[in-house]
Amino acid sequence: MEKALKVISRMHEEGILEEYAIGGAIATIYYTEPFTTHDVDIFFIPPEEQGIIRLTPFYDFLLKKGYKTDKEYILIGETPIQFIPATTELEREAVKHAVSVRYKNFKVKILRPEYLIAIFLRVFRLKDREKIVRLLEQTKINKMRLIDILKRHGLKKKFEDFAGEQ
Amino acid sequence: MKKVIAKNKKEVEKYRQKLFKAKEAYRKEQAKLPFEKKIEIVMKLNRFAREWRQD
Repeated sequence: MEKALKVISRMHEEGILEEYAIGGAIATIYYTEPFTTHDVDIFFIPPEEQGIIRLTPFYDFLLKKGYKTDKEYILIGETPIQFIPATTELEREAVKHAVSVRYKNFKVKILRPEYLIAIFLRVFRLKDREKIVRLLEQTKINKMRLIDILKRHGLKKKFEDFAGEQ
Repeated sequence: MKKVIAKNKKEVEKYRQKLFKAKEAYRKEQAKLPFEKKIEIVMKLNRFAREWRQD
């Protein structure tokens, strides 16, 4: 996992992965208690040139470095990494507002908790609902920011229904 | 932890609630650990999970 985070940081420094942020469980763990997860989700804004959207701009770089692929994952060490193109407005906005955090002697970008909640709310599988609860219970949420995000992306009612069930 | 005895079900339930409360407090403490430490724990948890699956 550490190696994976280091490679991601280097890819950003080298301009291979420009606008990106770690999402999913690893980003959640930054704000909550640790729990098991096996992969790392990287949201990135795919570069666009002359009407062509490059969904895997990092592919050649990683393969040249000797990393293997497995289905839609790239394996760095033992860690499967999934690069998810941020194509919805919510995801693009989340990536643009990501925070830079230190991990050992390098930095990685992580989605803010308010955006994580909104993204989990949209996907809404059982494991996403669990992560919403962890975030609400264990980290300081900027309520103004959360409500603003939920309102603008049509998720306020869904959040209120979910919060009402808890 | 101390030695605990209960005289009735009510006291048992009271003790259980105390345990659950402590569990929640522990989870909140864990949430405050540095990111590096959390990733170390995740790696350990993943290793355990793999070992259990192999058993």
